[in-house]
Amino acid sequence: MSVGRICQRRVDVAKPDESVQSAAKRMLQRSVGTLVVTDDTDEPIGILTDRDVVLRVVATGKDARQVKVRDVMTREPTWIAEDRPIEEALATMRLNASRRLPIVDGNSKLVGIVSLDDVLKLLADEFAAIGDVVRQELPGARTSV
Amino acid sequence: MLKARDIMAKDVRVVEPDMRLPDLERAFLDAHVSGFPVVEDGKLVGTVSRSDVIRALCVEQSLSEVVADYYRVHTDIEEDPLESLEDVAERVGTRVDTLTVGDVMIKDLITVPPELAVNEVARTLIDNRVHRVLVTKGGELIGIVSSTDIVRLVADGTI
Repeated sequence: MSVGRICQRRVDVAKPDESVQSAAKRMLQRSVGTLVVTDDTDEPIGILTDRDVVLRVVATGKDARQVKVRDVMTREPTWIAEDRPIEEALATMRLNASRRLPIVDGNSKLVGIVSLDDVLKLLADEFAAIGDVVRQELPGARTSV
Repeated sequence: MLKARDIMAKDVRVVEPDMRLPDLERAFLDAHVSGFPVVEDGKLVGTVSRSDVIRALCVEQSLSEVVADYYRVHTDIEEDPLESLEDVAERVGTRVDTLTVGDVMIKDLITVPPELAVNEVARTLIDNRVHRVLVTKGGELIGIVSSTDIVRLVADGTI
């Protein structure tokens, strides 16, 4: 199954030249801890997390109204194309110790985001389906002919 | 400079170590949180989160599977694998029903004093790779600060 089948298509984004304060407001409004930073062509150029805000702005005593997103974001984020298999997304997450990956189309434009939770939900549904099959085969289970 | 006491949430819901895991799960759902401080006789003794419970369940499952594999390998009788799965589920289920918060909680506490400056609280969160830190005075829990609380202060221009 391709990663594009399970990714979230609504992605919360930030622009590199907006202030960290403005981005933080969006995190709270949307109840998310991650914003994908995109350029004018919608290509992902960075990731801004609540951890970046806490570490690179508050812990260092910077003024969030003055600091731009581009100054504290993690640059050159690893992304994955929407037609790649879920196993590849998992391997990429493991390699980069990341729980979220931006998803891009054939033109490298942002089209979604996939989280480890999305993959876990898929796996849980798969296991539940396998469990149903196993239960039907247990002695005493009703079988249909 | 703002201090931990200025930004902490003071109304912190806690659980006790003798709470059983099914009751803990209900408490998580009721409070819409994924973790609680654990308090016994008024003193902070640990923290418990959903991931602590999942970790404990995985250990139980692994132990049960080891037992099931042992019997499969050391008998001449070919075991029905479906029965093994049932046995594993029953063993894990029975054990989980008897586990309490005290069995799965983390006792290595990360705390800060109420006088600690907000930027140092932020550094504590990052250095320990946690999203919440407990504020204590004389071993007693008096509040909690989360990374979301700090992002909120940034968003409204307080810091």
